[in-house]
Amino acid sequence: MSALSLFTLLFVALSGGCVTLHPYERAELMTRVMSETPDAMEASFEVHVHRTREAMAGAELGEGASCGCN
Amino acid sequence: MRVQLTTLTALMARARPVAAAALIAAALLSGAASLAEERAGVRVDVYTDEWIQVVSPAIEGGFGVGAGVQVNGGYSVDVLSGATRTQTVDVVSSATTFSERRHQASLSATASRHADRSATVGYTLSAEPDYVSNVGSVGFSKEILERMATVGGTYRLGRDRFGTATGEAVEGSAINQSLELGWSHILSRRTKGSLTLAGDYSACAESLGCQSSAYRFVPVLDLGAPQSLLSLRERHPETRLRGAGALRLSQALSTELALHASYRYYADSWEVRGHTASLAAARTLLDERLMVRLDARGGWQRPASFYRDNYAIDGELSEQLPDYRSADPELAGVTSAMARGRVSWTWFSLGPLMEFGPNVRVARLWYRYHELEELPERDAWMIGGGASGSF
Repeated sequence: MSALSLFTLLFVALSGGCVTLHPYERAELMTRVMSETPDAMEASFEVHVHRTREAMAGAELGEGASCGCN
Repeated sequence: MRVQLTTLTALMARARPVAAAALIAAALLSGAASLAEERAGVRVDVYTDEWIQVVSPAIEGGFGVGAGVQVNGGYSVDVLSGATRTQTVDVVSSATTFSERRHQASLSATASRHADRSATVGYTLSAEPDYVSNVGSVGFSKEILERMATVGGTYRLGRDRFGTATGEAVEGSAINQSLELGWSHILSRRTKGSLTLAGDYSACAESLGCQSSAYRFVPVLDLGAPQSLLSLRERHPETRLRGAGALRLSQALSTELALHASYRYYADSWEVRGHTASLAAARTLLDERLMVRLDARGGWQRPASFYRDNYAIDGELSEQLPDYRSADPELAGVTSAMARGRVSWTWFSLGPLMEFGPNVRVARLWYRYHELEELPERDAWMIGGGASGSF
């Protein structure tokens, strides 16, 4: 079983067991430290750098630009 | 030959599929508007390694227009300078110095007339002397399962045109389509996760193929005549199908400390396979005014099926000439790592309604190329800083 399949199964399993939270119960999820992308411009630049050094692309946080950068 | 920017008419013709999808997305929306946000940001990022330095200033901003509509825009410039490892047509591996600028502008509009759903249309133009890229996009998102989960998707259609800045008569174009689907879910009071699936298809000019460089030549050794070293222009396949899937988890340990983890698997029709994983810890201090974040990222990929560090033939050139050949380090086997530190400071805040402050990020990157004798390693620094605010 590939690593991605294992992670996906884990994600689906965790999702199925969730309870519903009221908005006032989600305070800890809304804190600054829980943000995955602190700065969109910063994330886009990093994605752009990775895409000019590696062949892998897609499913990233931030959008890389298309260019003749290779 | 300089590549000319496409005319407005040609752009509109190519944007028809994107425009149709935008209308469908807009039809999903009705009802009450959500609160728009005014925001602005400015930053400068610098990338530097042994060969290339890039300075990239950027600005972005957004504001509400009417009820439930948010318009966002951004502009950045990449100022490149340094030297490239270029195998020239004279079969000499040389360091060609250059200086170049790439401009990128983007504009998008998001409509969220219901609080639990939104639709977005966008356009990005990227232009440099020998490469122009036009990309239109349309996306949607919707909260489901009593707003415990969010599903969304983005479709992008782009056309790239390329030539050379040296006057050689080499030019072509590429059509790129991509679709990204995402599902994010609140797993508990302190845990959230997301699954992202992305697919991308490119159809490119036969002259060079996808992602190939008109400036790169591949040395080919003739075993029948060892003193003879041929130099052929790089050529990649005319199509490329790519796919990636990423899983992310975020866990709050307290209101001031959180951990983030992610894993991505990548595969494409050129037989590149790769894995990327990252871990991060974020902590706030001084009554949440100061946030420190540390990230570690690692990646591994195997090379494209047609990639060789050394190409060789033995016999008639016409019989053994490889259909596809590449000197692109991106397509080699690569092991990479990144360590990053980030600090942001909130100078001014008024609860969730307004905040402003600067941030600084420093990252160290390591790349190890498995089948690239001339460039087995490439290490770099990435430094950036900026200020942003929302009102």
